[in-house]
Amino acid sequence: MLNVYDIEEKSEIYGPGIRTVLWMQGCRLRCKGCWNKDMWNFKPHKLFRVEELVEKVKNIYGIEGITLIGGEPMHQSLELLKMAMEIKKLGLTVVLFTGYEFSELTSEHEIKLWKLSDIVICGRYEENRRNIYLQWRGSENQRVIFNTKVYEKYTLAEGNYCEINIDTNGEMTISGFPDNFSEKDFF
Amino acid sequence: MSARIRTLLPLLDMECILQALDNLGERYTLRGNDIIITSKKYYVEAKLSRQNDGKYVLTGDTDVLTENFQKRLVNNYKSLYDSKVRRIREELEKKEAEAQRALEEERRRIEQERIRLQQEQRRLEEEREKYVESQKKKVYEKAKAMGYSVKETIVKDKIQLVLVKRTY
Repeated sequence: MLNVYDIEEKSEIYGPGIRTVLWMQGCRLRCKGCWNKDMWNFKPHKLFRVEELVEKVKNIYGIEGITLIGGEPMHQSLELLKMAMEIKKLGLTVVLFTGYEFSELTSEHEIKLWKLSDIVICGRYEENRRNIYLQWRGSENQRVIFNTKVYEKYTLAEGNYCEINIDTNGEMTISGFPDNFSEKDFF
Repeated sequence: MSARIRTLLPLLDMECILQALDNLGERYTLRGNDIIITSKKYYVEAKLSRQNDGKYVLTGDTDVLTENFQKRLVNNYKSLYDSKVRRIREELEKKEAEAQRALEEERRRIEQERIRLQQEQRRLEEEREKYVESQKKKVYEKAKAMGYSVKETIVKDKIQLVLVKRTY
């Protein structure tokens, strides 16, 4: 089972094009200043079977691929590898956000998941090197690696990106790298 | 000396039969399902027995069961029975009218409640839409003040605002 914190069916700020984003629950890295502390613990949050998630993604029209973020996706790499392989079969792309560097990976499925992902954004979030004007990254040490040919011509458009979803009740979800832009402003 | 005859009378309702006998000044007693009539004149018994089909059948001495007595009993019974039927019909019509009025009243009440709820729903919907719009406006205003460009799309039933501040 995959332990998921949340899913955004369509997002434009976590990789190229419109993507389904999966925030995975659980992270042992616990970077100082992390924005997603709610995703640190490993308690079951929203549990899905790989097939369920693949089916869900299959039914979302108009996406370019999925983005795995967290939490730390590498802690669920065995199941995520299965999912990523199925997603690739659908002709979709995979973007992986991980706090690990390639050299730190220890298991075969972690390495496979990394290599199979079209784009990997890697490295710990370092609070003292925080820079929210980097596309897809939160601190200057983090790197964007284009693993496959799919996005080899992609040029990073540095800047600050965030996304605000307002549901039918006016409830808002803010994601991305907000510049002093918080829920508090709206309540 | 006496003959025994059997006369079928269309007597069905015990209450009306007893009332008719009272009206005729006859004495009677009840024995099970039967009404025992004692002639005032001759002190002989006649009997009204209840049959399986609900009819009462008069059996007795010919002296008691004179044609005149039978006619008077049946006529009296008929008059009482007709009154009873009429009374019941009128009562029924009255109750039906009451029920109809109550039904109309209830229907009116429910319709008013439906309209009230519909208005309430509309009000809540308008409030909700107004609130969503105000939230969106706040985001736009804040984003603009902070130098973001905003792209708005509708994703399913949500409003999605993508805020970008490029640093070329």
